[in-house]
Amino acid sequence: MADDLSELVQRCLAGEPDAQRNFVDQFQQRVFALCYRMLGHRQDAEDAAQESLARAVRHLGRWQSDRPLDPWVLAIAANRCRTALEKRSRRPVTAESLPEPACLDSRTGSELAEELQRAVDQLRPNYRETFILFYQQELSCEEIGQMLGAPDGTIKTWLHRARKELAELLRQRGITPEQNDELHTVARTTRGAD
Amino acid sequence: MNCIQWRERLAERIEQRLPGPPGFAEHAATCGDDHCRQALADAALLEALLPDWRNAVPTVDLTERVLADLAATPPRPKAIVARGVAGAGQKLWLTAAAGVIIAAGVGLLSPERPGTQPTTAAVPSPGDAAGSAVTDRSGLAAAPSPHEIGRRYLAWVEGPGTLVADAVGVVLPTGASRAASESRSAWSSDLMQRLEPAQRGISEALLLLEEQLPAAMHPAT
Repeated sequence: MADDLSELVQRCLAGEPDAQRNFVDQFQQRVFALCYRMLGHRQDAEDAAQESLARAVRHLGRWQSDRPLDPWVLAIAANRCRTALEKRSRRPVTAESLPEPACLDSRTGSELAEELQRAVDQLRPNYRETFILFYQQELSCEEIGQMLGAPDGTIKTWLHRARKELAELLRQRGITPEQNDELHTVARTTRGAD
Repeated sequence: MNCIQWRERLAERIEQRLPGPPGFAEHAATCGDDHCRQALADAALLEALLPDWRNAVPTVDLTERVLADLAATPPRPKAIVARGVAGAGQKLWLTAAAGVIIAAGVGLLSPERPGTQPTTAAVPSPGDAAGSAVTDRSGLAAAPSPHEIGRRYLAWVEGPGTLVADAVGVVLPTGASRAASESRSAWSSDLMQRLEPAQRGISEALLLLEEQLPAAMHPAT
């Protein structure tokens, strides 16, 4: 797999359009997902993902082949998202109210995912990025530490605090495993698996 | 295994994406410690929400957009050249901002203004009657000394000047990346907005100053 990627990168560097297409195909889903969860806005995420992927292809020559490619590509996207968030923070803030919590029984999976996203958006940047990289990109704490330039132990602390804050924010929105059938099922499954 | 050890193992299990050993969750139900129950409930809550949250699919064909972007954009310009341009712009704005402040200060402090009052104001002496007006040779009411006026002017100008410097430092992006380039195209309007308080501050200081100037020093005279 690593050899395949190295070969793909070499072909991209040689300017082969097919190789560039393969490269983008291979990473677009993950890069978009990262941007979407960091920015919380679909169109902004698509723009950021496009720019990140184009930038990655242009700068493939800077990738060190003895290191994994995925975190390198994702780091480009994360940087792009940070820039976008910084710009956004300088814009005038508009009043944006949270939707009323819906009846728990009526919440669909996507509604619950949006609730989680709203909570993720409220985390401080380090926690948010760590949470997204760990749970959505499924990177290890070590890989996240390399990406963010922080020690392994710090990443674990950030992850722990992110989880704790998220759970608290979700509880404030009325979402608890005991009260929701779907969650309850999963909680039982979790217990059953133990 | 006590409660602290159990919670540490739960954290390890989460960090390593490992299932707990058999009977692991039972501890939270039997130990009576709220922290353990809460930790397990938090884990279950997030695990329930994560599968739907992870799904995120773009609605547009990013591959075509990226390839079009790559085809349309020539190789990025040399970073050194781009940085040079940014540096020149930065210097220009800094110079302009500093120039405005210095011009305002120098203009106000200049003794060569029309209708200037005598440069030597009378200094109250111990022999003057208390409460009597202090007058100079021309009989005009004595104004603060030029040094005092200068000190006040500088104090008024210092605030807006700091604002200008902060605004310039915050707004100007660095680097030659495309993002930075885009950012540079927007920063000038952003800068103007940030300079507005400074400009207002200078105007207010000038108005205040003119109000307080002795009639003989007033620019209109």
